[in-house]
Amino acid sequence: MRFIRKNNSGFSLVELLVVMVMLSVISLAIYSTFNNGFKIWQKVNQPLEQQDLGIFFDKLAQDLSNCLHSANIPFSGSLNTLTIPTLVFSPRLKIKSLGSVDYFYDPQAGFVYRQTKDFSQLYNRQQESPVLLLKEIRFFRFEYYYFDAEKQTYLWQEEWLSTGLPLAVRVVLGFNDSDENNQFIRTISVPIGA
Amino acid sequence: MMLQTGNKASIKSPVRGFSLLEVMIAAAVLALGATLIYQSFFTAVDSFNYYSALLKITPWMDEQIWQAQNELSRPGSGANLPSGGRLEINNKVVDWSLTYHALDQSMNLYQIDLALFWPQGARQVKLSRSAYAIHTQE
Repeated sequence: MRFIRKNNSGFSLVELLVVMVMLSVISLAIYSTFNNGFKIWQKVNQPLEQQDLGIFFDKLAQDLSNCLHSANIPFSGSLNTLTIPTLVFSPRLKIKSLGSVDYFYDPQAGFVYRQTKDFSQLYNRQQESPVLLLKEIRFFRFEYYYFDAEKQTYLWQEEWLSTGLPLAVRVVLGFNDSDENNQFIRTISVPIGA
Repeated sequence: MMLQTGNKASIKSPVRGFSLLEVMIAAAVLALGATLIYQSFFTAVDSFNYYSALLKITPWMDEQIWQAQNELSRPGSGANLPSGGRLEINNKVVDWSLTYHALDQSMNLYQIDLALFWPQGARQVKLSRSAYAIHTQE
């Protein structure tokens, strides 16, 4: 009889309170660790538009570095488009060969595309589908740097129609989510430009 | 009598709870683990913020170097180069300074040094880049 009563005696109030407090403290610590971990994981995994921007600038810089004088493929440019005679990968020859690279901006969609054409594709008027390089672009423009022989000064202009090559090409762009002041400017020299 | 003794012995051992020392050690191990996990969170956020700032600053630095090279290599310029300033990137105040000096007597070859400083968490980040510029006479 004594044994049964002893075995049935439950927890005391103090024991219960201590256990509850400990349990709540430990579960709070575990919950906050998981919650913060999840938030940080979300933040760190969100895509950054600047990642694509670095690739875009690198591609443009490479195309302009390889830019050459070509009678058949003129260098031409406007505010939103740019055509560079340069080295491109030829899908038919499986090597790098002469061709053209087009960059163009679609203001409605806010996309910037790059399209390559090798010499046979240019001749046959074929084209591959353009590659999307940048998204969410609010404004985008090309500028062209040249030496004005008459005025004896270096000037920028917004389109390139002459037969030669500019000294440099500048890209000014801004993303949709960034504020007005947050614009990216990158100027790339054309090595054989004159 | 016999029954009572036997039952007492078999029930006593599984009902025994944790001692205070055991609970304290368990809590300490848990706290240490949680602290280490938190530390890794801070490291992750710090790295993310640093590289996010770096991705924005790199094109800006390239552009600044190009401007300086252009000013120094084209004739009739070189005087109006900014020596420093302050810009705001990712809600961080970034201080920058630009210096240049001639490397030869005839003032044809220049070295350009660009340095940026910004606070990143508890530390101060310094980023520097150097380039050459050749003054072309036309």
